[in-house]
Order: sequence, then structure tokens, then C-alpha cells
Amino acid sequence: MKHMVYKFNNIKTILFFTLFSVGTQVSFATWDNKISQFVNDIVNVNPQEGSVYVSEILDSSQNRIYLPFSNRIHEVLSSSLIKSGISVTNKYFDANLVLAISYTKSFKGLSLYGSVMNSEGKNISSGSMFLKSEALPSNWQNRSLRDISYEIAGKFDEQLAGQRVNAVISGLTGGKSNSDEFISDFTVAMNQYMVEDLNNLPSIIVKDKSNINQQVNRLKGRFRVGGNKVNLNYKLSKSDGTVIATASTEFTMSTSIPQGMSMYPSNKNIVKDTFDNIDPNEGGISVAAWVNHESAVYRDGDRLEISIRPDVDAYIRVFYVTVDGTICQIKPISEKDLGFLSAGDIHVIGGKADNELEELIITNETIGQETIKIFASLTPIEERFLPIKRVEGVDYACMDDDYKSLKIGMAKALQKRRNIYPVNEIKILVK
Amino acid sequence: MNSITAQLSKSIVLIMSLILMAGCQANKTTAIQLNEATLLDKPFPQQNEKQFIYNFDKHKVAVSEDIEDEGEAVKKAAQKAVAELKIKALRQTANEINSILVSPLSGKELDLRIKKAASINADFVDEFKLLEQETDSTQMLFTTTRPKNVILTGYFKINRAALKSFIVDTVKTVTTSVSEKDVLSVSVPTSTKNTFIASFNNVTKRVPDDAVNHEATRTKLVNELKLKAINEAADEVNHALSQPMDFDEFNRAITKANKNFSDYISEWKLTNQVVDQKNTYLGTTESVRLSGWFAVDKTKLRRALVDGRAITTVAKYRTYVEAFWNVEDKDVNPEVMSVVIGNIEDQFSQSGYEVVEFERIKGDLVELLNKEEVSGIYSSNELERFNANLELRNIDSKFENGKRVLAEYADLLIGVTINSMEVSNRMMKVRLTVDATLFENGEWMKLASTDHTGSIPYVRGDTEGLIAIAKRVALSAAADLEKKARKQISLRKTKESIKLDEEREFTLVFNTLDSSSFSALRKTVKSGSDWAYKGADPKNKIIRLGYRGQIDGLSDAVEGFLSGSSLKLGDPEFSIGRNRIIFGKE
Repeated sequence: MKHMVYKFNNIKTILFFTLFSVGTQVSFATWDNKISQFVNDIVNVNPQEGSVYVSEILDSSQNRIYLPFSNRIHEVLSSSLIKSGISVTNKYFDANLVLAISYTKSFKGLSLYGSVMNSEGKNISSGSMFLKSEALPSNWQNRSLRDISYEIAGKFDEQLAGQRVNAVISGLTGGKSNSDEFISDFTVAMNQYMVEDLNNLPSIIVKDKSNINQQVNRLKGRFRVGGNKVNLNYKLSKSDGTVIATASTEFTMSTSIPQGMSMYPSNKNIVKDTFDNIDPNEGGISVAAWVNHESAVYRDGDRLEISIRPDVDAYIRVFYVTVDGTICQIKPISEKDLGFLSAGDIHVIGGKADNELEELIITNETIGQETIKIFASLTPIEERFLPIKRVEGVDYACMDDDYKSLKIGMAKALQKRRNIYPVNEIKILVK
Repeated sequence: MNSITAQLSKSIVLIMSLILMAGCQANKTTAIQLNEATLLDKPFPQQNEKQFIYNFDKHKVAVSEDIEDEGEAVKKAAQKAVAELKIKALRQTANEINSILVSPLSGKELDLRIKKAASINADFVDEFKLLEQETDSTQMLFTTTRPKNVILTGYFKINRAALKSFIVDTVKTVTTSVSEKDVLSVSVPTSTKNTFIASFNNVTKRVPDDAVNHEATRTKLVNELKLKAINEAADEVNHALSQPMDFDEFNRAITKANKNFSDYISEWKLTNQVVDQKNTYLGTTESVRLSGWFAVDKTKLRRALVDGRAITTVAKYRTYVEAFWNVEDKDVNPEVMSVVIGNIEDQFSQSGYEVVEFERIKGDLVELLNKEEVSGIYSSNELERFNANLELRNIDSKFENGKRVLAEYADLLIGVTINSMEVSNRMMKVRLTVDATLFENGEWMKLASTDHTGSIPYVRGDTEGLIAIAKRVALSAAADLEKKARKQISLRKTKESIKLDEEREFTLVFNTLDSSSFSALRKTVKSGSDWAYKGADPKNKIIRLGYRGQIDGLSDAVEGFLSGSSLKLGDPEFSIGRNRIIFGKE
């Protein structure tokens, strides 16, 4: 009996050593080692035979998301080949072999698919591997707003490759519902990133808003919040509304939105009553409008200049909807003035050359989203129908009623039964 | 214990036996008597100009243990030693001889000949003497051991002249059938504008071993030289024309010309013809050696090459590259388009075509159009300017009677259409079609077209890769099209027997004439002999003429021809590089 116990203990010792050694091997096979092994398995080339071109590592799923972690995979792949004595080139035509890697991402981890082609495009070898999420760095799924903007810009470039198109960034708006048109720190940041990323691409030339005309395309973005997810859609269209290209993605707020960055303006509840959901491309009188800050962000003491340029001779009225919902007419300022502007002429409200209005200076008494609404008609818009009150000595006429009353008054002035919408509007963010 | 003692005793006995044997040994060298008198001829003889002396001293060769008879074994060893020494003697002599030759033999060849010389029973050795002959047998106490080596000392006297004549082949030259006059007139004439002289000097051809005589070889060599002369002349003709050449057709035309050589070779002379007989140790070979020259008529040969479609004279074709962006609702990247146009222009230019640069004619085109239509041409916006230029380039579609306008500037139109430039499956794909249209007899005739596609992995924002693939596709398409177009052009030339001094079609415009005057003029011009009447357009008062020469020559010729008539034509106006003359421009 004693003898048997002794033998049994021996078996346990062997088993322990076996398990220990396997455990050690697993802990050493890090994700980058696994990728190195994977690439060495599929790239079977004599180092003297030439060089390998490693193509960009892209998401092969329908979403085609950009994962910054793919750059690290690219680095590991390239350095692994170099360590094996294989020369790596970044020039496709210099390469004898092309290594194409794509991935799909899931909650469980990352699947990699690789194929090796010769210079004639013939597939030589291929393979796939799966990296468990636990084996990957904790931040492997993270995407910052910068990355999201990079992805959207890339999706446009892919559709516009070989072309060179002009575009004006109309900006990003959105909210929880389809009709929401909020702007916020988030939209301002995205606008800035988009301009930077698009400017790095040869396919799109970003123009500032003053260049907007019939030949220039518009890039407009919309976001929609659903729980912790944000859906982002961008559309590039011609001045007549023809869609040239679209790009969309989805991201998680908790991982992509920096702490402290707001998705909505502070006056969210007030501003929601002024949404019109207008599309300046959709028929009607075309009036280009832009402000002197390309970012549309204003701070205390900033001067606001609003430029408007109708494409046809038109009677124009411009209203300013402040943070607290107060609406004031800032063009024309005189009761006698019918607001006529000639086609192509640029009129700057609040500009130094503006003889009518002294100036528009932003204060930080209240902060949030403000809107400039531009109404236009081929016939005069009679002021007597509008709910505005003139106060002597003040340049502009404001109203006590809400935005809805203004639109009703506008319908009366134009003798229309249907709703009247502005031909254009500009949203600014006061911080 | 007992057994160990017994083993030790055996060992002691063995050691003692060995000591005893050693004490009884004594070394001894035994002199042996062969046929030579010993030591009398010492010292060794000296080298001289006739003989190479190879000395050997105490040369040792092992005596075989396999041969039972000791005397026989010693004899065999001695024979082996002498054979080795003989080869060494011959080798040293041969090396010395080879070192002074004008054309020394290679190491391998020399080695072969030395072995051969050693094996044959030739008389290269004047004298062989053994001064000492020994074996190294050992004298034991009561007996002499079998010798292990034979040791020889002596020398060889090698006949230098005999060995040299064996190593170096001798050549005997036989001069055959050359007249004294021919030998004297060795000076070769020089090439002229119309005659190409191909000269050759001492060209040899081996007479086959089974040939009865060398006559057939000589004839064959003369034929080869004749073909070479025609080839060289054709090369020069082609070089002078600087035109693209179809190698297959070229070789075919040359072969044809060679068959009818009397048409092209106006004169030829052999200045030297000999038969070299080469005597070697393997036998005698014969070679025919010729010198002389051929005079080739370049004018006749050029005509034969052009008629045979070996050379296509394309330089006369003013070529205009027109580009289209055939992708609806997409704006072209100007850089890509410029690269495509530029590379196609370069390809045709390098192939010998006169490429009409757009910039040269742009001013004229702008003048033809309403300024408002071309406002983009002057835009400060690069993209707008490019697009306006691109549109203007499309003369055919931009202008009413575009093809006719185009004919004023070009004879050959290359249309480039970019059909697609897009990313598909992460690959950037470019597809373009190029076609060639020739203006001939007042009409634009489609010559050829080709479609090419290329792809490259799509890399975000990578214009360099896009341009590289666009360039590759453009070049491959242009090369393919050029080949097809040239073939078509050469076929047309054959049909129409176009003269080599390159006739071109010119348009004469007589704006100031009324219908009846124009009709009278047309009849008069039709009878002119300096040009070929090609047709007329009475509505636009245009007459088309084929003329060999420059536009100013035609203008003068027409003016001179019509000077006697009562028609008031007005002064002719034209510009070089175009083929339109306007008489009486308002």
C-alpha cells in the first residue's frame, strides 16, 4: 500500500511539471508573437528572392471601421518579416510579393485574414488566425473622435479616389431624434477634425464657406444618439442636392467621447423649438450665408459678422435667435428698408462696412446654441405681418413671441397658407 | 592469481625478443649494375638553345609489393619513374616554349598536348641518361630485405624545336584566284548620300571537312557578307529616317532584298581571297579568308523597306492627343489626367510622330470660340482652369465641325478615354481606352483602338500610387495602339503607293471669291502639275491639294500658277506647322 501511494505521488509530480510548462508557454505567446508566427507561416519566401509589400490593414466587415490598433499589427507584421531577413518595401511596384491582411472585430476578439500574392496578383498562400480579446492590450478596441473622423474621411477618399472635388463643410448637427439639430463641443471638435483629415486627402479640397457657389459641393453630417451608441452619417452633395458620396460609422460614447465633452448645448431645451431641418440645396431661393468664425464658435467679446449672398435678386430678412430663445431681426433694421439684395452681392451684417447695424458683439451672459435664420422672397416681405416690435434707438427689432409665431407671420406676409421656412440658417455656439 | 602471473611472463618474453632483434639489425645501401657506366657523366649537362635539360636527383619511386619477383618489381618501378620524369621534362620544356609564344595556349590545352606528346612515340628526347641507379634494401644480420624504392639520378635532353612544332599549329596560306588588279586596288570607296559601302577585311569561314574543295565555302561566305552588307545599309537607312521599325517585317524585307541583291548592290569587289591550311597534330584544316566591299543603293533599298512595311514613315503625321473623362458625375484629378496625356504624347513622340502640343494651338482655339465659353481658361482656380482646358482639348466635341477644325492641326488623332478610376475590393482600378483616327482624303478614318486596365492596392490618400498605375496603363495602351496604328498606316501606304518625299494634304481657302469665280478657280487649280488635286468644298470656298513640301512652297507655287489669271485672290496667309492657306483674309 505504501508503495502504491509513492507511485501515485510521482505521477502527480510529473503532471504538475507538465501543466506548469504548458502554462509558461501560453503566457509567453503574446499577441505580437502569435502574429509573427502567423505571418511567418503564410509568407514563405527566400530572403534573396525579393521584397514584400505589406498593404494597409483594413476591416473586411461591412462597417469598415478604422481601428488604430491595426497600425500596431502592421508594425508587428513588417518587423517580423524584417527579422526573418525578408526585405519590406512601401512601394507596391518594387515588391515581388504582396501581403494583404484584413480583420473583423467582435466582442470576443480580433480575427485576422492574410493572403500573399505574387506580382501578377496570383494568390500564393493564405491563412487566418483569431486573437482573443483577453490576449490583446486592454485598449485594442478604443477609437477616439480623431480616429472616427479619420475613418469617415477615408471612406470619402475611397469613393472619390481619382477625383478632385471641392467641398464646403456645412457642419455636423444631431441629437436623439431625426429632427434634432443640436450643435455642441462634440460637433465643433468633429468639424475641426474632419477639416484637418479631409485636407490631408488629395480627393477633396475643403473650401471655406465664403466660397460656396453652384460649383462647390456641401459636406453635411448628422449624429444620432441611441443609448451609449452614437450613429454618425455624412453626406457630400452637389449644390442641386445630388449625392456624390456618403460615409457613416457607429461608436460608443463611453470610449470615444472625452470626459467633460458635451453632446448637446446647455440651452438644449430652448433651442429645440427653433429647428427647421432645412436643406439649402432643396430648391427655393438660394442664399449663401456664412459667419466670420469658420468654427462657428464664439466667446465673450467676439465680433460676429454674418455674410449673405443671394444667387438671385431677392428681398431678405435675417433673424437672430439668441441662447434664451429671444428673436431679433438684424436685417433690415429700418422699417422702410425692404431688405432687397442684388444677385451675387455679398452683404455683411455686423461688418465694419455695414452702415445699418453698428456691430454684433458676443457676450457670455448666456452660453449655448444660437441660430441665424435667413428668409428670402422674390417679392417684398411686409414687416407689418411680422410679430416684431421696434424700440426707438435700438438697431434691431425683437419680438416677444416664439419662433413659431414668426413663421406664421412670415406666411401671412407672403400670403401663403403653408409653413414658411428660412432659405438658410447658421448655427453658432457661444461658449 | 595464478593466471595473472602466467600472462605477465608471456609479455616479458615478447619484449626481450624485440630487444634482441633490434640489436642484430644494420642498414645497407646496395649498388646495382644496370647498363650505364656509373658517375662518369657528372656533373649534369647545361641548357642550350637547341635542347632543354631536365635533371633529376635521387628521384624515388616505390617498388610494388604485389609483384613477387623482386627483380621484376624493381624494373617496373624504374619504368614508372622514367615515365614520370619524361612527362615532367616535357612539361617544363613545353611551359618554357609556351611562355614565349605570341598566342600562348591555355593551361588546359597545353596540358592536353603535353600528355599527347608523352604518349606518342615521337622523337622529342635527344638524350636520356641515368647517372645513379639505387634501391633502398636493408641489410639484416643474415639477409638483405626487399627494396622499398628505386632511386634514380640523371637527366633528359629535350629537343626544343621538335616539341615546339608539336605544340604550335602551323598555317600554310594558299592564295587563290585573285587577279593582280584586284589585289592592287585595295582602297575601299567611301559611302555617299545614295550609296552605302560595306567593307570587310579578312573574314574567314572554315571549309567543311567533307568538302571536295573550298569553292562552295567561298560562295557561301560571299553570300553571307552580301546579306550583312544589305543589313548594315538597311540599318543606316532606318537610322536616317528615324522611324519605327517592325523587326519581323524588317528581317523579311532584308531577306527579300538579298534574294534580289542585284537590284540593290550596284558594285562589289573582293580585294583578297585566300585559303588558310592549318596543320595541327590532329590533322589539317582549311579556311577561306576574304576581304572586299559591297556598294548598296540606299534609295532603292529604302523604297524596298518602306514598301515591304519594314519601316513606317510616321514622322509626317502630326499627332494630337485628345482626352476625355468618361465618368459621369465625377470630377477628374488634374494630376492623373495630365500624366495620362503626357505619357501618351511622349510615347508617340518617341516613336517618331510629330506630336502637336496643345499649348501651341490653344490660342487659336480660344479665338474660334466665344470668350464666355472659355472663361475658365483664365480662372485663378487651378481646377476650373484645368477643366476648361480639358474641355477645350476636346476639339471634336467642343467645336462645330470639330473634326474639320482638328484637321487643320493634325493628321492623326489619338483619343484617350478614361472609362473608370475607382476603388473596388480595396484595389484602385484604372481602365482606359485609346483609339487612333487618321485624316485621309478629307475624312477621319478609324485606324485602331485598344482597352487597357491596371490596378494597385488602394492606399488612403495615395496620389503617387494612383499616378503610377495610371501611367503604366497609359503607356501600355499607347504602345499597343501605336503598334496597331503603325501597321494600319503602313498598309494604307502600300495601297496608295505614297511617295517617299511625303505628300501632305493642304487646305486652300478663297474667302473673297464668289461662286462662279471659285468654280473657275477650281478648274484651273485642278490642272496644276505641282500638286495633286484632292477635292473642293464650294460652300466654304475650300480646295484641298496634296503637296510634297512645305506650306510656303505650295503658297508660292499656287500664287505663281494663278498669276496669269484674272482672278483677284488677295495675299496668302499661313503659319508654319499648319496646312491651311487663306487667300485674301478679311
